[in-house]
Amino acid sequence: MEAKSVLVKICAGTHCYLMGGSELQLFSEYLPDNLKNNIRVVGSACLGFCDAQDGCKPPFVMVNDHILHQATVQCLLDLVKKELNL
Amino acid sequence: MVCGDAFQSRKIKGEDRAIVTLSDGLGSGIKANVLATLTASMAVNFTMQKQSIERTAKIIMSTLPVDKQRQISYATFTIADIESGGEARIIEFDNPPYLLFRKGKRIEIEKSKFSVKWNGKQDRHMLLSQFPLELDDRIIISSDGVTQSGIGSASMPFGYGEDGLTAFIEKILESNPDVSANKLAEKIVKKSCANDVYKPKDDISCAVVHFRKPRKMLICSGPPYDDAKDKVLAQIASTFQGKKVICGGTTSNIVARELNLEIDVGLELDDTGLPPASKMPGFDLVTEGILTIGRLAEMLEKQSYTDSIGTGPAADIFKMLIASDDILLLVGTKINIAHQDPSLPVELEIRRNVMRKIAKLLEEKYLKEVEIQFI
Repeated sequence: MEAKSVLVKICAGTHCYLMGGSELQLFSEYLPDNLKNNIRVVGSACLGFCDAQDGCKPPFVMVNDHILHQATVQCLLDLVKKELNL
Repeated sequence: MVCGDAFQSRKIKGEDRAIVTLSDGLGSGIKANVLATLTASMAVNFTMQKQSIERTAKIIMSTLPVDKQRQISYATFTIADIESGGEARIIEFDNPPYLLFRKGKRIEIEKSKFSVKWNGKQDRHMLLSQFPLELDDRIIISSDGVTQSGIGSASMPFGYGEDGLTAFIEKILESNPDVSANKLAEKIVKKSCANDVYKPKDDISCAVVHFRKPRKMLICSGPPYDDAKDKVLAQIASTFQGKKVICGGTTSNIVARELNLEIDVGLELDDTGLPPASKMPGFDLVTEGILTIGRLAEMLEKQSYTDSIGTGPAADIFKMLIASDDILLLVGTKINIAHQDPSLPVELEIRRNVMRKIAKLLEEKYLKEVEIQFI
């Protein structure tokens, strides 16, 4: 079976960047070696979630189709693992 | 820190003229600085108001305080009044002669001499040159710290002199005919300093005027107030001829959407603490918005031409601005509600205020032709 791949889109907008997104930009450095090939980490211009007045707070990250708010390196890593069924 | 040489330049909006003056004050320390600054400011202001040279010179002479020991009031000056059509008028008083380079070689301009009575006692002689500039001409104005550098040394006992300086500049122009005015001035100052074995004996100043076609640059920042104007923003951005920079994530999204372009957002952090720059085809630079332009405004305020400004997105825009002449700031005025979040760790300025500040600095400190358009 082919390994599942995950696309991680990190919002590089001003709001996300200031609220902790700057640390997330280094996310690929936190990835364990065995997962690196299955995960693609890219930056994104403002995803626009900060404007939706739904109580969700930045920084935002998209993991495939899921939106993660108030993302930290740890919870992002957990979600990525979940997506990979690990 | 003070210097006994003073350099001032001013661009007059609406008249298409630039005025450049270099003055060297008598003596040293604060006194020399006051004399030089006073002279340079008067020279600029009187020339701006189209006062006659004789009158300007007379007023300068009678305003300067008289030196107790030498019984003279004294500061040398060179005033260059240059119209964008190419008409140049240069007045010199006791500074080393300006040098004019055309097609890489120095050429001489015939100067007329006139004298001004000072204090009823002695005549002071000044030189006036009036000539049309040609495209790519360079005028070099320096203080005697340049021409007298190296004096007394074995290799140049009488100092660098006009001939040494001319040969140096011709060599630079031969190897690099497109050298920028500020780079050339920097090279001349560094060379003079080296002539004095890095312990200059006098203040060393050099101003270079390069007469060339203006270079254009566009900075787009901020989404338009009305969504219907998104197309206008994209249209201006795509058709502009010159360097193009976008500052702002939402702004770059709009341009990318309207022009059907891909944005490649960088993730490489550097030591500036600013969000990284992105790439978009057809644009020279795409950066984050308010933090980057805030840093840019700070740089424009604090730095000078020759300081090293490092790397990073704001420094890259700074370098492009310095190398440009006609700058269009296209500012979207939509307020980003998310930036008003009280839990943000820093206070974010309102974009249009920062852009206004940038425009003012570019015009007044860097003599750029700036147009600011709100959309």
